[in-house]
Amino acid sequence: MKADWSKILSVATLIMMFVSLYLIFIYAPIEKTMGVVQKIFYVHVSTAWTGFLAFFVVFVSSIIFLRNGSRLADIVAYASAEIGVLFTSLTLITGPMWARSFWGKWWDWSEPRLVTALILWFIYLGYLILHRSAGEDVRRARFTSVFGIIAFINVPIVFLSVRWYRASHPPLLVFEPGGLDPSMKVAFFVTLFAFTLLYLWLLNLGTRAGKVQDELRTLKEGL
Amino acid sequence: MTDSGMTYMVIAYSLVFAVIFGYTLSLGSRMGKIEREIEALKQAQKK
Repeated sequence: MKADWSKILSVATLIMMFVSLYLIFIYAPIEKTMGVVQKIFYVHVSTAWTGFLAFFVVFVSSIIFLRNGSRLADIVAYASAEIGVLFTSLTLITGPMWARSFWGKWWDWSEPRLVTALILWFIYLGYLILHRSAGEDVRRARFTSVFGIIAFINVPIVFLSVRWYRASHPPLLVFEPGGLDPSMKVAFFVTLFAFTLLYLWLLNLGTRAGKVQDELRTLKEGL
Repeated sequence: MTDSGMTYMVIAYSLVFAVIFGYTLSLGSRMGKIEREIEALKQAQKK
């Protein structure tokens, strides 16, 4: 009997989401300095991580498409970029909510992490528009793939911007000694894992949607 | 800060899960619509 990986993935994602919510709201303590608003951190970093992962998949799929013209790689790249833009949007929304409560302002244009993340969002929004307009045109699809590869340069810039420039945006203290309470670390890594599963599940759905779209196009051409 | 912190936290989590739920629904309905269109085209080809 063939295992239905999509169903297994969807059930695992749902379970892990509930586990992560339990860990965030019940298991992990309230941070002493920031208070309850610190709990935004779990979902904020997880959406950012999902966005980065999605853009990495766009990068790899675009290379594969350029090398062998695989239609599947092109479909995966588009589906992943869509998820990446969605999760980066959520990062850009949840971040200012924390900032408003802690810094007293929604946005700070002098913060390199904020500005580079916004640029990243615009770049991949541009990628989605380009990809949609390319349609069946192979040359334009190849150009879009090149764009998908070059765009990825901005991902490490966003990640490292806090270390490169003096900034108020808190760096990721998870790996630093004494950075996070052990129970907070557990909640953080489980949430990260849950969002990774969610990404894989959404990518699977998006890829399937892309494939049926292709099937429809082929059928229409045959008429 | 605590009260507004609680409000922002609730809004942030509600928004994240509402958007993810909405996106999943839209993907499902997009796929369902295309599949119905494919089925209709296949039926038309048979006739």
